[in-house]
Amino acid sequence: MSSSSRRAAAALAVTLGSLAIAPAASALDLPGPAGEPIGLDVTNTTVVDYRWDNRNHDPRAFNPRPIVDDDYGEWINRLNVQATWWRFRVGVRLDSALYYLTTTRTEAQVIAQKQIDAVKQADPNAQVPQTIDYANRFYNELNTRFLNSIYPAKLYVGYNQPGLDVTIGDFYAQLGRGLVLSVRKIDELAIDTTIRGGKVVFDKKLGPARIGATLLAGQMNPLRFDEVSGRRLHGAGSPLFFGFPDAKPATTYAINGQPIVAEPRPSYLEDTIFGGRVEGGIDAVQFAANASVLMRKSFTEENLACKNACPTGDSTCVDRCYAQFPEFTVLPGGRSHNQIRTFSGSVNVPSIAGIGDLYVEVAGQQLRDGHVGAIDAQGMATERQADVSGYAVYANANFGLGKLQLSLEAKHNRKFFPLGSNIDVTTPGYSAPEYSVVAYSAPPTAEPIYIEPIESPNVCMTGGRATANFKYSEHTSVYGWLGRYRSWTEVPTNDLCQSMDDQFRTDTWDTAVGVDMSREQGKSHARAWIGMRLAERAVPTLGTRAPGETDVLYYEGYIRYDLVKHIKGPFSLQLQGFHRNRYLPATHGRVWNEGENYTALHWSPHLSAVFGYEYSTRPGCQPELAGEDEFKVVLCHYLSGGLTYRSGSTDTWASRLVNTVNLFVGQRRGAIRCVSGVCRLFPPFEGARLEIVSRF
Amino acid sequence: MNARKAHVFGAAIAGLLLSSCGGEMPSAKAGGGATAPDFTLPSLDGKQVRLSDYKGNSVVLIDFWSTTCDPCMIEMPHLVDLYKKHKDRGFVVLAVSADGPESRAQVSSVVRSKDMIFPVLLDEETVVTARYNPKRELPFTVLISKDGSIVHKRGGYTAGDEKTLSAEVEKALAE
Repeated sequence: MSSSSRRAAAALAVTLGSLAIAPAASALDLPGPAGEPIGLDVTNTTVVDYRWDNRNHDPRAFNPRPIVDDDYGEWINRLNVQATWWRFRVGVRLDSALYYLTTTRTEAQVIAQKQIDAVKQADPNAQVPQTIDYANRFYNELNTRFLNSIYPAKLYVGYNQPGLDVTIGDFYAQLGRGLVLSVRKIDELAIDTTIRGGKVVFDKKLGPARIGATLLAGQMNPLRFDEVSGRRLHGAGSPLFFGFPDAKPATTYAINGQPIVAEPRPSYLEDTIFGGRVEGGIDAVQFAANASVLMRKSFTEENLACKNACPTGDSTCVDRCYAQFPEFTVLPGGRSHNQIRTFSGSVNVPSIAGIGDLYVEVAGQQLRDGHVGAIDAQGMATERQADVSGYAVYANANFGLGKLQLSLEAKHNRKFFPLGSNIDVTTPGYSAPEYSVVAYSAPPTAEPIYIEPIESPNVCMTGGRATANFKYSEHTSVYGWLGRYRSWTEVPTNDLCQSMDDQFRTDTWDTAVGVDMSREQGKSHARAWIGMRLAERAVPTLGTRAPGETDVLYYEGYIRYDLVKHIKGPFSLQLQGFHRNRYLPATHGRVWNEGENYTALHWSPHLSAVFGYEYSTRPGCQPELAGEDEFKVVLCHYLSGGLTYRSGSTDTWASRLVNTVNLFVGQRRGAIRCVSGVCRLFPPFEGARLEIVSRF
Repeated sequence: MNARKAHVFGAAIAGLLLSSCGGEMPSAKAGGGATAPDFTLPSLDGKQVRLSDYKGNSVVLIDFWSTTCDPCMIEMPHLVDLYKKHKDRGFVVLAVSADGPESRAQVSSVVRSKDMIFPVLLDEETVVTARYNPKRELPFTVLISKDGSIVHKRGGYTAGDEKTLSAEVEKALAE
């Protein structure tokens, strides 16, 4: 352990130790001016972990990314302090990350050389990179990862009185049901984007009617370091984000050993948004109109002009152009235009004759100021992405008919794109590919949240889902759903919905049935459902990894369950998990199984002990064992154990300091996790992780 | 200041400050906790519900939940029972749904199937959730005394927790 790591550990020990011995306390209201107390709320989340080899590296692949994610530790801390006085509130969240025992540049060179030697030894004819080239890939990877950071992630002041709420600083926001704008905290995806700017919410009752308005403006503020990968995101230096970490120069080495120092470049050009909503109606029916304009920074013309002025072969000059006028690889869809206007109108009927409700939203979208592809000698754009216009319709109705609950959803989208962030996901040494999931809208879905979308199914699609829940008795319900979707943007070559031809069309059935039971006054509980999803191409195709022609785009059959059995007194046993049988011929030539089961013993209200087992036969689950033959079935196992302690109160300093503790030791398989059609690939984890939540 | 030094410095200062403050801190509320920040949210039935409207009359339990949270679903029948038992004594449950676009459509059918007869509020923006529960732990309950102070916060749910919660509610109603 380095001396700085020892100092950090000592400081942590001092903090924890000091708090543990502090006497009981009862309140965090402090005396304030004018006889009004100042309410103070402090929540601190500390995560300390260490990761060992997570077995995701293919020794024949010269890719440093799955190598540097082994054998390192991190200490992530998020300190959230909020104070309220009278109608005012003020808050700050200080985020910090400290990494230890990470791969050093010297170690990277040794690792690169060892891997090259091993591959050559196994096969003297194998194609291998030059050692310095491969080492440079490591250096580029490390340039944006495992960088110690501390910065004020969220700041705000606010004022609240009946009918008016004003926030200056960071805030979450949503317009409509997420079609026009949605920036929220999504822990499942490690996303916590806010808007930093201003927001005013006005609301007034006029007899039986109510009117309201929301206005907001600001710049998007995604997290700047990613706990999962240790990657840091660097903005372009907007003054709104003072105290945020800056990009570093990228140093690589020429074949003669001379260092090549490239100027720092950002990986995020701050996106700006303006938006608002007006709404009105009576309790029985409410209308709303929403609009947002997303403005992107773009330096394309300047970048092209600068590069055109560089002498041929002068890489230093070109590098300077990129540093001065950052330019990212253009991703299709919502990232290819610098201005996206989205607007919608909605009708909400909260009660239909006391047995149901209805919500309908119709949205339009205009993608304007397309990305420039080329300029002329005068610096004027001669090539530009064409304007695109699209729309979306979403409807949801619910009915309760005695013991039967019915929920209906329908959606119809044409060229309706998510509001993607302006983040570099490709440039070696600077990019932040893990942040490619950051988006500022979340179209409401008519599908189960755990569905992993293929390509961009929502851009052009029509579909719906019906869910029924029948309450057989007070403690037993059966339920099921049936979904049917038709999409033209699940096939990669048509992800912009260029064509509505049948060769791009996919038809999907999604169905499940389940049971929900409780016994022993609700102390024991069983919830289980079995389901299937089948997506077929309208026209069978060759060229997938399936043998011959296939019309299967995706197939999945699964069972999911959550079972709790009360044992005695405060003790209960829980089994929770799922098992899936899957087939995705576009990327895998064979069917695979994956699943997990977590068994927990709960001792209410404070302790839970968990034992986990996960497995997968997905091709490549452990590349080292897979060999060249993807049809060879390899069963990967993942074992883990965990302890959770919850103090269950905030009565004493000790219970506040150690309000919740989660300890996880073991292995967790790599998996895609999805929320609202946004998915993120989480690499496998092997190690130990301790999380302590303190609440004051 | 570089990040490593800042970590060390910050942790040490925090430790010293917190250890030195010890003892009981001044409390302006009979309930003993900090003042619950006020908020207004739309309810599922189309109304606007403001927390401060209950101040002085009711003990309020705010339950942050979502339709995609399994423990929330298991806990909900216990909250319904608790509400039925104590509503005549001025006990109110405000069930704040943190469902976003991915699951908002399921809220009303879950509310009906779980017989949630108390006000269900919609926090689609997670503004109130962030204010009371910055970590966004679900379920998360906040018990507020009649004088508007927070007397109890609890994250998560395991079978049997309802007994602890029931005891806290009865204590708050008795004060």
